[in-house]
Amino acid sequence: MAALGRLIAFSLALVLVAAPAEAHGNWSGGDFYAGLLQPIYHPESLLAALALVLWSTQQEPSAGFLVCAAFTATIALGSSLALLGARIPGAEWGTRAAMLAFGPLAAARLRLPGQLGAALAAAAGLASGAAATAPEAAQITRPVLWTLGLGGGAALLGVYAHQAVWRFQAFWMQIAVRIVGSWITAIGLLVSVLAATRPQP
Amino acid sequence: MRFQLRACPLGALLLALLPALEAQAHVGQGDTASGFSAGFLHPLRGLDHLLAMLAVGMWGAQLGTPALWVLPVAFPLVMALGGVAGILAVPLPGSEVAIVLSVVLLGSAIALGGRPPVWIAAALVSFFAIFHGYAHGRELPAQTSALPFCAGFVLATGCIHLSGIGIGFVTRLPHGEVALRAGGAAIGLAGLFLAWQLSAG
Repeated sequence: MAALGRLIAFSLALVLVAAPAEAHGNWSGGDFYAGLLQPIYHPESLLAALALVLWSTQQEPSAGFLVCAAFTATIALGSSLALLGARIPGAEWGTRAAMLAFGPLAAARLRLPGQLGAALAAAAGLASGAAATAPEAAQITRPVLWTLGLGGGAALLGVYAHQAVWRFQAFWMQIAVRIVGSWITAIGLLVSVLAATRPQP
Repeated sequence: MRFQLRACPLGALLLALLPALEAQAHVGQGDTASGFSAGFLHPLRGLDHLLAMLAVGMWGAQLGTPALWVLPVAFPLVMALGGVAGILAVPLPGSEVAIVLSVVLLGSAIALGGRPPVWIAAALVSFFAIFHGYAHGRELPAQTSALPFCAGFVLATGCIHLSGIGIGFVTRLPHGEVALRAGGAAIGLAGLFLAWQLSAG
C-alpha cells in the first residue's frame, strides 16, 4: 500500500513537472476538455466540489454514493440551464454557500441522513453548474460535450476522493480530510465577505 | 496510533505542488497567480505569525490526539472570523500585543510540557487565532483577487501548522521530548524579544 502511495505521488509529481512545457502550446482540446477543466478556472466551484466530496467520504458508503451522484447530476443540470439561457439567481452565492456548508461538515466529520445530504448536494451542484457555465456560455459551440465534461469532472473528483480515502484508511488521512475541510471553510468565509464588501478586479 | 510518514503520498504531493505553484507565476496567469503568491507569502513574512503557528502545530503534536487535529482545524476557522473583522475594519485594540503574547504563551506551553484538557488548548489557540486573522484581514491588499489571496494565506497557515506537527514528531526519538520543549522555550524567548521590539516602538 505504501509503495502504491509513493508511486502515485511520484507519478503526479512528474506530471506537475511536465505541465509548464505544455503552457506554451495552443491545443484547446474542445468543449469536452474545456468543461472538464472549467473548475480549475473557477476555483470557487472546485473548492465547493472538493468540500462536498471530502465530506461524502465520511458518510456511510451508500449515502456517500448518493451525495456524489446527486452532485454530478445537478451540476450537469445547472450547466444545461445556463446554456439554455436560464438565469439562476444567486448561483455564485450558492457556490460560496456550498463551501460554507460542506467545509464545516467535513471538519466536524458530521454524518447526515442520506436523503438530506443528497438534497444539499443537489442544491450545491445546481448552483455550481450554473455559476461555472454562465460566464463561458457565449463561447461554447458544443454544449452537450461541455456539460458532459463538467459532469465528468465532478464524477472523477468524487471517484478519486473516495478511492484515496478508502484505499488509504490511515489515521492521517482522516485528519487530512478534516483539516482541508476547515481550510475550505475559512477560504469560503473570507471570500464571501470580500465579495460582499469589495468590488473584485 | 502511529503515523506512517513513509506512506504519506499527500505530504509528497503538497511538497510537489509548492514549486509548481510558484512557477505558474511566470506563465501569464496574471492576477490569480500573483494574488495567490501574495496571500501565501503573507503569513511567512511575519516572524510573529510564523512562530505562533509553528507553535500551534508543535503543541498539537506534543499533546497528541485529539489535540493533534483539533488545534489545526480550529485555528483556520477562527482565524477566518478574525479576518472578517479585519476586512470590515472592526476596531480590535491591542491586536499586535496579542499576537506577540501568543508567541510567548504558546512557546511557554510547549516548554513547560503541561497537559491541559483539549478544550482549554483549543480555546487558547482560537483566542489568539482571532488576532492573527484580524492582522491578515487588515493588511489585505485592496487590488488583489479575493479567492487566490485568501486561498494562499489559509494554505500557508495550514502548511506552517503541518510543519509544526512534523517538528513535533521529534518526540518519537530518544530525548525528543526534551528537544521539543527546548524548541518551545526558544519560541517563547523569541516572543519576548518581539515584545521588547514592540514596546521599543
